[in-house]
Amino acid sequence: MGGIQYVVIICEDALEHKIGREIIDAGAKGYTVSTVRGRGNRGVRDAQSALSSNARFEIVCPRNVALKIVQSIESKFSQNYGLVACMMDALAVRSEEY
Amino acid sequence: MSIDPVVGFFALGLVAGLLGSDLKLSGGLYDTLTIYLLLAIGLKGGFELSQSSIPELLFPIALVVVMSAVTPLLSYQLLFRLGKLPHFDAASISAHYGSVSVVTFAVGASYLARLGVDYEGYLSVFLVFLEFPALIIGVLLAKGINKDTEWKELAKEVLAGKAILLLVGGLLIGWLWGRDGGAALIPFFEHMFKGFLALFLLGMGLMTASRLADLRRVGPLLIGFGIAMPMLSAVGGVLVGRFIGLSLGGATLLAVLYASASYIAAPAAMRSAIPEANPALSIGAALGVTFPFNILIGVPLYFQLAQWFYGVYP
Repeated sequence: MGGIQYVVIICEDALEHKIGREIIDAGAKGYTVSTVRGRGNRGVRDAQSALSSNARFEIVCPRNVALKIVQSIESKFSQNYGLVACMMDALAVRSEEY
Repeated sequence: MSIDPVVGFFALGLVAGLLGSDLKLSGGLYDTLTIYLLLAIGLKGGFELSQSSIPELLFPIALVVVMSAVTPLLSYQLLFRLGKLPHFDAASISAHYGSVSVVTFAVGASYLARLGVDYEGYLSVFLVFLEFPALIIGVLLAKGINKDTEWKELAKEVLAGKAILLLVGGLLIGWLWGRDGGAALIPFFEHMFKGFLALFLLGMGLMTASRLADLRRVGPLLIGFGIAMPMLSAVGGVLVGRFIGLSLGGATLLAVLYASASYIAAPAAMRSAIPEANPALSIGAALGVTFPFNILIGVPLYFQLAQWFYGVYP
């Protein structure tokens, strides 16, 4: 087990493909994405309807990649789109693979 | 009851939502019903097209599309100048109202069928061509013609989006095979259409109920706009329909198309092309105000309007 970063990004599903690309461009080896719903404080979209849900990305990657991901996504999308992006320390099996 | 029973399902969904019922349609079911409805309408149009002469239709299609541009342009002026709405919001909402609602069209067609009023089958072809020009106009209003706009993305979003793809695809299949070749499809795509539409409207009722909270955000201006703009557009529809020689039913459906606002194709395209716009406003108006208004009051109203106009100018 080794030290690594665990990054979680929650965004509107309109952004799913763009964020997926950003993650790979930043150097991550891969990611997991799932469909979630919720509400945020901007009050612009309440993702309770079938017309619009959210996407949750989970990424395991080294710290420099994690920073790149979070910063590029924040600068490109946070102004107009609902977004949650956070990174945390984690221990992972085969951490050298990332 | 002269009101179509499918509207009862919409009312049921609305009441269920307002009562806070745990009834819900899964995302998968919505997607399935959407795919079915789009294919069925495209197919029907294609069957009709296979029995019509295409060159004869080119001028009407062109005119119908060009005249439909009045809706987004007028909407933008009303919302931006009169309503003092932010520029991007005005543009996005205009795109929604310039585009069309397949479900509203289906309700209109059902209504006419029930009354025994005929209409030209190739109206589905108009529907296809009316889906996307307004989206382009909306983006032009928002961004102007500059290289910042991601036209490739918008084009992909609009032309490869499921609404256009299924409508055009259904149209092509129906046209290529014709009613005879596609006879085996008729029990599923035509006879069962009303049932699937009823289910979809049940879901729409639920969704509209959940959007009523948006109306507070939307405010009286957009509520008024959501009722007035469709009526204005419907008048345009009757005029254009009469001008190109459509039957009474045809002109009614054209009015319904002009009066409808998109909430399938437009929201996705606008979220991508005009991200600065607040989707709660556009969807709140289109889904919370205009859609229920159109299917509960609008459709019969536009028919009356067409009847009156055709009575005066036969």
